[in-house]
Formats: sequence, C-alpha cells, structure tokens
Amino acid sequence: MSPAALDTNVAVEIHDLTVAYDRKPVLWDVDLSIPSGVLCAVIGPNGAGKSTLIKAALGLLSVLSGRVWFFGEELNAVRRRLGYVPQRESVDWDFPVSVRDVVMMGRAGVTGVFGRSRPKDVEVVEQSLRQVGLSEFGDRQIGQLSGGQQQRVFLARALAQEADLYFMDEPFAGVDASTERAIVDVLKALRERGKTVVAVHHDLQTVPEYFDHAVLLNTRLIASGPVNEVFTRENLQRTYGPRLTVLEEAGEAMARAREARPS
Amino acid sequence: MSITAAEWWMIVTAVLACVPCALLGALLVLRRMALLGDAISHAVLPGIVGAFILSATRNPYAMLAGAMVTGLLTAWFTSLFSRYGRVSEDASLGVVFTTMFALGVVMLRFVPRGVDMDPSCVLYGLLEFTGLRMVEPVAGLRVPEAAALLAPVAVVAVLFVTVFFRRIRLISFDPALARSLGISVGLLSAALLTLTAASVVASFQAVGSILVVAMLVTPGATAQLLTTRLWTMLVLSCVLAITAAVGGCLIAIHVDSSAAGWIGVFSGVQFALAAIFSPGQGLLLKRLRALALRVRIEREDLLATMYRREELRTGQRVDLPDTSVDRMPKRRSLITVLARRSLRRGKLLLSRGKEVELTSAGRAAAAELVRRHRLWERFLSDNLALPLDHLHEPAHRLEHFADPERLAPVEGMDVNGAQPHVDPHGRPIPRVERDQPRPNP
Repeated sequence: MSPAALDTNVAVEIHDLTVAYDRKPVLWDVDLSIPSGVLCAVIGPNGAGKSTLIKAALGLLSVLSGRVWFFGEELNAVRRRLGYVPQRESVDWDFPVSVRDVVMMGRAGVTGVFGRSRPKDVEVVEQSLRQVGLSEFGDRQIGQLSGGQQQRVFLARALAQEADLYFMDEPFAGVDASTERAIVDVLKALRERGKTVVAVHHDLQTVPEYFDHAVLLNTRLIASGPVNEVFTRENLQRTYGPRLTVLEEAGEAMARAREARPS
Repeated sequence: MSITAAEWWMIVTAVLACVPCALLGALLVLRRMALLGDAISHAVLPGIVGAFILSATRNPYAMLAGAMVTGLLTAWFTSLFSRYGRVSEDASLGVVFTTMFALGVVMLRFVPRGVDMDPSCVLYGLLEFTGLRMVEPVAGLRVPEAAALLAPVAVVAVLFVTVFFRRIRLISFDPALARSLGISVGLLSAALLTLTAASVVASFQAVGSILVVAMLVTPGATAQLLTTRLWTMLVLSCVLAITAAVGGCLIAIHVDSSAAGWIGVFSGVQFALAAIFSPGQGLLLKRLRALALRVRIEREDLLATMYRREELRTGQRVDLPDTSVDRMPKRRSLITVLARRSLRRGKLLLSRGKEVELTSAGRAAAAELVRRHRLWERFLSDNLALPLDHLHEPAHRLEHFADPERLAPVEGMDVNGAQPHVDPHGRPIPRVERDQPRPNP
C-alpha cells in the first residue's frame, strides 16, 4: 500500500490500474492521485480509457490489476460519499419515469431496500432540482426534455446523493450553452463546499477555464496535476499525438489560461 | 348467457395465469428483454418432459420444478453466450431456446408408454378442462389444480413487485447507478427472472405457450402506449390482462372455441386500439395534429397570397417575379376546403360571388404574415448572405413557425430601424400596429 493511500486529503488514489476488454488493454498500469477539493478534468483522445477509468474506479468493471482508495479508504467503506453521473446515452430516456423520480434515485443509497422516501429525501430532491434550474420540470416524463435538460437531471440526481466526491462521464457532451453554464455553476458551487469532482471532458478549450486539476490519459497516464502545470503543449502532444487541430485548440486555450492566471 | 361453475373456474384460472405474466412481462418489455419470456416458455419443454420421464407421472410439482430448471438455464446460458461467446444477445437467445425446445421434442420419444402427452397442449393449453381436475389444498375448498398452482405464484409476483417497486425501477432504468451505490443488481434481476420463469411455467400448463408469450409482451406494450409512469403502467398492464382474460373467456364460451386463442386476440385488439387512440402516442391524434398543422399553413398561405394580390392590384408594389403570388390552389382538396372554411368562420375572408376578399381583420393578419416573411428574407440576406433567388423558400417555411420579432433580440436583428422597411427584393415590409392585440391568423 502506498503511503498516500492512507491520506484522507487525497480524494482518489489509484495504484497500478490495468483494465482490458478481451485482450486489448484500455488502461495500462495507471498510478494516479487527485487531491480533495479540486475540479479535475480527465482528458485524452477517443478510446484513451477515460470512461473506463471512472467505471473501474467505481467497481463497475472488472480490472486485471490495481487498487483504488477514496479518502484513504476502500470503495465499499465510502460508497455513500461517492456520486456518479453516467453518460447520458447510457439509459433509455423513453423509460416511464418523471424527472423527480430519477432525481430521487440518487437517494437510493440511503433510503433502504423498500425505497420509502422520508421528508428529508424529498427536500434534498427539490433542492437539487432547484440548483440545476429544473424545479418546474419535476413532473415531466424524462423523454420530454431536451438533451441539455436531461444532462441536468443526471446532475441533479448526483447532487441528491450528497456525496463528497463526484465522478461525471462527459457532463458537457452535447449540451446547449445555457446548460453548460448551469453545469459550470454547479461545479464551482460544489468546489466551494469542499467537494471533489472528476469529470471526463472533451473540449480542450475550456479546460483551463472550468477546471483546476487535470489528468491526461492515453491508455497510459501521460500527466496528472494542477492545470497550469500539466496542461502544456508538450503533454498534450504526447496525449493526442501531433494532430494539428487539437494542438491549435490547445494553444489557444493556453493563451487564454495565461490571460486568466497572470503568474 | 348462463355460466357454469366449470366455466367460472376457467375464467378465474385465466386471470390468475395472465396477471403475473402481464406484470413481470411489462418489466421485461421495459428492459428490452421481451423475447426472453418467449424463450423461457419454449425452453421449459425439456424440463417438463424430463420430469415426466423421471417421475413417470403427471405430478404438476415435479413438472414445475423441471420446467423452472430449464427455464432459468435458458436465461443463464443466454447471458453467458452473449457475454463470452461474441454473439449478440438476441442471436444467443435464439440459439439457446430453439435448441432447448428441440431437445424437448427429441426427448418426447422416451416418455413412458401409458402417460399421455400431447404436444399441441403445449401450444394451446388446457384452459377448457381446468374444471375437470380439482384438488383440495385446504379442507373444504375444492379448486382446479391449475388455479391452486397459479394463485400462489400470482400473489408472490404482485407482492414482490409492489414491495420492491422502487428498487426494480432503479435497476431497470439505470443499473450502472445502482451498482455504483452498492446495490446488488444481479440479485434483484435474478429474483425477477426466477419469478418470471415461475409465472411462465405455472401459466403455461393452463393457457399454453402462445398465450403466455402474448401475456408477457402485449399488455405491457399496450400499457406503455398509454402512460408515462411506471407504476401506472404496471397497474394498467394487469388491468388489461384481466379484462383480456375475462373478455376472451366469455367470447370463447359464447362461440364455443379456444379460450386461450380468444384471450390472445382480445389482448391484441387492446394493443391495436391503444396504438390508434392513445392520447400521447396514438396514430389518430398524431394524424389529426398533422392535419391541423397543414390546415393552419394553408390558411396562412391563403391569407398571404390574398395580401400580395391586393398589393399588386393597388400598385403598392411593382410586380417582380415572385412565385408566391399565384400560389392560390386551383384544385380543391380537403385541406384547402377546411382552410377556407375556417377563414370565413373567423371573418378573415369574405366571399363575394365567385371572388374572395380579405376583411380588415384578415388584412391585418395577412400583413403580419407577410411582415414575418419579408423580415426573414431580410435576415437571411443580411446575416447569412443567401443570394436573392434562395430567400423565398426558407423564409416561406420559417414564417409559419418562428416569429422573427421574438427572435430579434437573440439574433441581433433590427426589426424596426431604417433598414428593414423593404425586403431584399425591394418590397415594402408591412408595418403592424403593436398596441392592438396581435391577430392570430
């Protein structure tokens, strides 16, 4: 066990994580440490193992090797403190449930086998809906919402979990500008309350603006640390390969990052 | 029509068979596993025949146990093959259950002589004969054997789904979330699957495999068309199954033919009616809504055309090649008739002999439409730099659905300044008095 594993100020500590589908490795020997209280972006090209990292950490996939600690403890001891926002496409949005029902699912970890919701659960659900701006949509069937609103339902559900550490799989994928702003606001509010968020992110341009920590991944770990240290042209080149468009995007983002954080 | 005691028992047995199948089937439909029920109902054959061969009697409990074993094996093999065998789930399901069924057919050869086993009963069941085999599970209560077997299954199924409703909903909707919360998805799934297999096996002796498949899929699919809440869907599914069972039996008694057949037909008719008349997703309402939309567009086109003609007549604008002016339809179709009639009713249009004229209210409404059209042309020309001969069509579509003035603040359009007084073709953009309520064309 690495010494950092016992440190409760480390939100996520991953040691020697290897995951393979069939025989093709998706994650290879990843060592990683994310401090608590940061907004952390997981970036890398398609197929780099970003979603796999999250799913493996949460025990949703079987791994070939590796151990994961959250706040210095094993998964089963801290499940209540973890929240999960899956990819939007992972569920059937025609399923006959209301927005409020879905958000209430976030309380399933505490409401017990029969799932009776107590007044406190109802209150948390309403508050979560308010926080993402969906209060008026509580009774809608989830299929009647726009893509951005659906993403916010997932976010509200995660908030209802009242976790300390959130894993989000592409929370910004295919959302409109107003939803993107709403999500960013929620993320910042979470950070202010000392929560940690680990999010798979695709838009390199917004990394320095939205996040303060980054994990660069391409099957192997390329770099991990504060954005202003690891979000460099060289690291991005190692992550994405010499692809022109991506590098241009990143160059622009770095220029903006310098403007935002004069050193 | 008087109903005998035996016929009453038939109806009761049919209801007891249909309810658990419909309830658990609705959950299968939602989880996109509808065909699993079909598979289980066929795969039970080798189990039943095997129990027959081993026990050499028609002991229903031995048959039930045998059928449960092969039914669950089917579900298990299917998930095994699709996970490890590089075969898609539907293909592996098809392979497993046809193989099991075929195995059962082959095994029939080894059934001891003297025990009668009619493969056609597998398909149609023995609903008509339920009253003939009575048992006495509790002293003083004589019920048909089939009902005695089905009642506990039905009760357990309904209780289980009611008690664990929220958990079932969670694992059906988002199993990944459930797992991340540390909830055992596998255990609950397995319990549901076992209950489904038990319902299938218990019902299938009474009503036959065809009706079992029908009951697993049809009421659930019908209920799904009628509601957007899971609880309502499950209740509806049971209600539909009960009405189909009772209705089908009554028809069968009346015309003296297969009860299982009539229940299946009844259920299918329920589905067809729901597909046509459902308020949310019914074909009829969709058609009516589409028709209403076409009539509205036709009304608006008529008004705008009348307006453009007036413009030409009064010389407010010089004639420029404009395809839209003579879009007055020559042929009378249902749509144009409806559109004209509603315009006359709304006092927007007057008929004077063979000619039609705009009323002043009609003119205001038309001006509003033409204004929208020309503002859109202005916008498309200024902001998207579309060439002049590409403006009319998109503007013509947009004018019916989007009001450029409401979008103006978003799109940065200047709708009242000096610029938009004329459209890109040089035609005046009508001004509309804003303090009056907007005419609704």
